[in-house]
Amino acid sequence: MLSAVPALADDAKVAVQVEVVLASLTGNTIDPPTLKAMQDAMAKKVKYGSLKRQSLEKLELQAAPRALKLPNGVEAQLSLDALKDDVATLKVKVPPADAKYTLGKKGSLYVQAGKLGADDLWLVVSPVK
Amino acid sequence: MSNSNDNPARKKFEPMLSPFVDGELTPEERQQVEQHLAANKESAMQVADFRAASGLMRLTLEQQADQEDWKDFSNEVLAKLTPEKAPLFERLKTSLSEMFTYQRGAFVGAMVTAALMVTVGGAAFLMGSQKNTGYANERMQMQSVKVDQGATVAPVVMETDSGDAIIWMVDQPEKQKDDEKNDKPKGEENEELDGDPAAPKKAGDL
Repeated sequence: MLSAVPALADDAKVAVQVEVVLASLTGNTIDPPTLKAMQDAMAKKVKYGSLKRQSLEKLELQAAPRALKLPNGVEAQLSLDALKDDVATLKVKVPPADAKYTLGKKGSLYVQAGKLGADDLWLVVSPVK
Repeated sequence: MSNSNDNPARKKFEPMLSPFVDGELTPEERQQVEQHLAANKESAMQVADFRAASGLMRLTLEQQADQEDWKDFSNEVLAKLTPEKAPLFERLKTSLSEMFTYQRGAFVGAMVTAALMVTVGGAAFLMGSQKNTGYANERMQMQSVKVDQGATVAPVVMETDSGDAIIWMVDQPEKQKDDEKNDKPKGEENEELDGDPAAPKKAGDL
């Protein structure tokens, strides 16, 4: 079946900032302090005591999936699904979840990416600064 | 230390040492003094003292000269010498020449600072004018969340007031049990969760 997927030029690419963050219910370390925003965002559901950034990358996403190996062995994949009227739709796969969202000037996507020991690992996709 | 009067050579050359340092001797006299200095340590030390004092004096004078404002020195002197003002271009040329000669450090520093400001400003302008492709929307928006069939977790999406979206993975032990009971093969087909009970929920639903 043919779907109305916007055509994606071969050279279409979109830049995003990708962070891997280790979140723990214990402790009180927010490193770097910019992760306070993440702590606040999640406060309604869970109050993480410590958030520690494991990695930070600026990725240019294209149609071909870009693999990102997480510290717990999970392999995340990010790709540009569509780009129409300067609105990019991204596909973020963190097994077993597969999310699709449109980018905006504001707003980060937080995807729980499993455990690392007793702590939670999160993949955070944000607009490039 | 021996007295200079004891050494006839030193006695002869001592009055020539200061002129030697000041470059006031004839080439022949200069050569004679150099030969004497090579042989007489005491005179050589005296010459070194003269040179040190001379260097100190020059440094002091240069510092005093730096404190003076020489900007319009030539123009003021020329104004006194000539009743008519020099042409504007000539005056500018002279001012620049003076600035470069007498205030070279400050002049070069100012030029470097100006060049840096232009470079940084230009780079900032270029970076600012480069728009990020794909960010036409003000806020991000979730489209869909799926999980692999047979997954024992279900996604729960929470959207925050600040425009973020959080995807939690919630355990579904019942589903695991059902799968085991039905002995369903775990295929690669995805399970679309949009619209079903496990579909993404807003923060208020959580």
